[in-house]
Amino acid sequence: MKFVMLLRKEARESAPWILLSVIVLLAIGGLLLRQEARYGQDNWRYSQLSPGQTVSPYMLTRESVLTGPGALLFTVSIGLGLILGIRHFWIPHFTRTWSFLLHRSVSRMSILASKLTAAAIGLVVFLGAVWIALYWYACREDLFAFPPSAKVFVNGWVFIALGLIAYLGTALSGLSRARWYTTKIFGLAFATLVLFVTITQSRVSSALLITLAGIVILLVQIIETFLKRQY
Amino acid sequence: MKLKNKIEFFAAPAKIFVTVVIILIVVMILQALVIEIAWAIRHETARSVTPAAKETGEPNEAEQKLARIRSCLKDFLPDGTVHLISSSNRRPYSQPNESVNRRIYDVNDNLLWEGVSSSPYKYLSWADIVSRESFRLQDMKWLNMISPDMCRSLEVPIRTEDAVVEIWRYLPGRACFVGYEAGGGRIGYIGAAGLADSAAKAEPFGEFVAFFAWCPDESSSPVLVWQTNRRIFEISFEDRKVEMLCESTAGDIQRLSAGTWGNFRPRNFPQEAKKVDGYRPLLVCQTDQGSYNLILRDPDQRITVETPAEWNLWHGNYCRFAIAEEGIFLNRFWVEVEQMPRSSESNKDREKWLRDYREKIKKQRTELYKVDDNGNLSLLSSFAWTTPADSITVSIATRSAARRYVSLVSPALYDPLLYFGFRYYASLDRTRQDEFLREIFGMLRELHPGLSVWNWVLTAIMVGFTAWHAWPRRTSTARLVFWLVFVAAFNLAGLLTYLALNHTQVIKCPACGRHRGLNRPDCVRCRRELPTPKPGRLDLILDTHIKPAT
Repeated sequence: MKFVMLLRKEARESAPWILLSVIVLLAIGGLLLRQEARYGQDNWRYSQLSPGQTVSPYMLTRESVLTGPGALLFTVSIGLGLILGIRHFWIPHFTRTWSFLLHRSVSRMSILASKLTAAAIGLVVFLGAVWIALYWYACREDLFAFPPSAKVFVNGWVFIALGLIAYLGTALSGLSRARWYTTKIFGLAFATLVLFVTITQSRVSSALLITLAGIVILLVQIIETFLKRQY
Repeated sequence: MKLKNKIEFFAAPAKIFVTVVIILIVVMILQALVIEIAWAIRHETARSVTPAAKETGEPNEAEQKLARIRSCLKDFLPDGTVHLISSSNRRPYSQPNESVNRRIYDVNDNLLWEGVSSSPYKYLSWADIVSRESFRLQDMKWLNMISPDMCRSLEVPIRTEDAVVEIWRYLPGRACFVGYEAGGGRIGYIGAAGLADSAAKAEPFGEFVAFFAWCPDESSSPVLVWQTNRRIFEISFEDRKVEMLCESTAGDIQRLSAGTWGNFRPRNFPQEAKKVDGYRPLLVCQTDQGSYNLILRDPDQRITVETPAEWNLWHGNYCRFAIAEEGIFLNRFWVEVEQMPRSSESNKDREKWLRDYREKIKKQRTELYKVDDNGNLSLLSSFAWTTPADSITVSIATRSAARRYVSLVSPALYDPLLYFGFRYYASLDRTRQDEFLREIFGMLRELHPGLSVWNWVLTAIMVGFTAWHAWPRRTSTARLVFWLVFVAAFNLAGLLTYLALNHTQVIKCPACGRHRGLNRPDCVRCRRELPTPKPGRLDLILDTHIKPAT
């Protein structure tokens, strides 16, 4: 019961940012798809192919219709992760309200779990729902000549996972009691490293594995730091 | 056991891992910066004092002749005659067929012809490597990266005059193509065995290596030549036909060259070659075992050429093929210097080889062989010329000196990691070699200490410092030993990690007067606990000190 109340409190505080992210992604992503449906450039692109000529192989590579919305999802997901991390773990530090939250008849683990759950719901459920809607729209045969590949859909979920990585990196940096010029920023630095390594992978399985490893490494440190830190 | 205690077993190694990885990256970046800055500074200084900047006069006639021979293109006529072709006003990046003023000499430096228009001689037109015009494995990996611009896909369109009616999309996971009709509906899958109804029935092409494409004379839908590790296919999506052109049973296909094939022509292959009598479409597949599979058309013919194993011992060994009315020819380039040490061997050996190579006079050779229908070679002619020593060798010495100094702070672990890890990586199939790992091994090769004694001395100093720092702060012997071993393994990065995670306050023990840490309740020297505060006056608002009754 206490956990549910705490979760509602965290969700209420995070709601404006989650809502803003959903609106931005849905509106702009939807607009980009609509433009693509109306003014699709397949015929223009391939009109440069003519009989009897050598073909530059790069003319045969094609962006997905979800390229624009996907790039937006990447940005929104990481941005939301950063903002929620600051909201949950940095602002209580700046406003010195940790002690008010912690010295209640509720376990530290419940407090931490409510924050993590609220962030996970915001990223995975809300952003995920928008991404599913955009992909469904891109698969409509009456609007688009050819469907997008399934890999594009999976890539979107990798970006959502990277948003979670950004959140956990921000959280760890916020909880660290080290000086800013020593290891305080290492949580964010590690999250950035995981991000770069993930987006350079060409296999989805490798990307998911690296992201999962990053989440586990950051999560155990967050739990340990939060449970034993003196406020 | 409480969650807090359980999770510490995982959190502590995770924290050490994160810290050491980030510090290692920072140290690597700083090391690389120092090497590049040192090289840039010395390279600029060296450039201003090279012999070329101190020319005292014009070269004599013999030197001019040698210089001209070196800079000329060496080309063969079908009878084996060698001509030296000089282009005096050629601009950088000019097209091969662009009009330039040409002079043609024989091997005795006699001028045979000079002019701007096409020469009267019909030289052999050599098949050129197609890598410049083809889509390679690296490009495919970049295409499939999980990057914010979302994976692009490889799609081959089937077009009518007005619109795209079908596309065939490459599925990297299944190594086959899936076809879609415009407006909906999946057509099927194209694999090595041709068209199939389902993905399960489509035979995979194999691990992708490269492809190139052209449009046939009567269609604007591309045809592909698709290269995998061991096989080469020609795929026509419009006809839904797959033809296997070549399968290598002995070794992977390392390099593909083409004269022309269909309407495909490599950039450097001359336009007029197709009009030469006896010309035939030609594909050349070179395997990593040193053999060449020649695929010809009009009529179809397959020839396997096995070059002598001794050829691969020489530096710069390179072979190319040409077709003419007189038959099939092989041209071999090589330098009379032993092969460079392989990249997996030490930097020192390779740098020494480079230094020796640049400092000595070398002889280069070009040879022409005739190839019969059984792949046997017969030497027709050979031409050799000398190349002088290079003037700038300072840059190599500077780079290696800078590398020697900065690698003093590199972890000793780099050496075994490079020795065992790189060997394993190099043994993997090239399609499975990860680009990220390749870059890491490249950095390790640059920065590894190479069993340097001074690296060990510096490591010992750091371990000594760690022991001095950790002694009053120790909480258990196991932890102390762990950190000493850690610093010994990771050198500077290990020391910085240790300090980042363990630099805590020390105080003087009230009992023994020596320094002690605060991470354990008792003093590590005298085992006495910190004294408890003496009970006395309570410092409250109310004075509770009981005054004696008067």
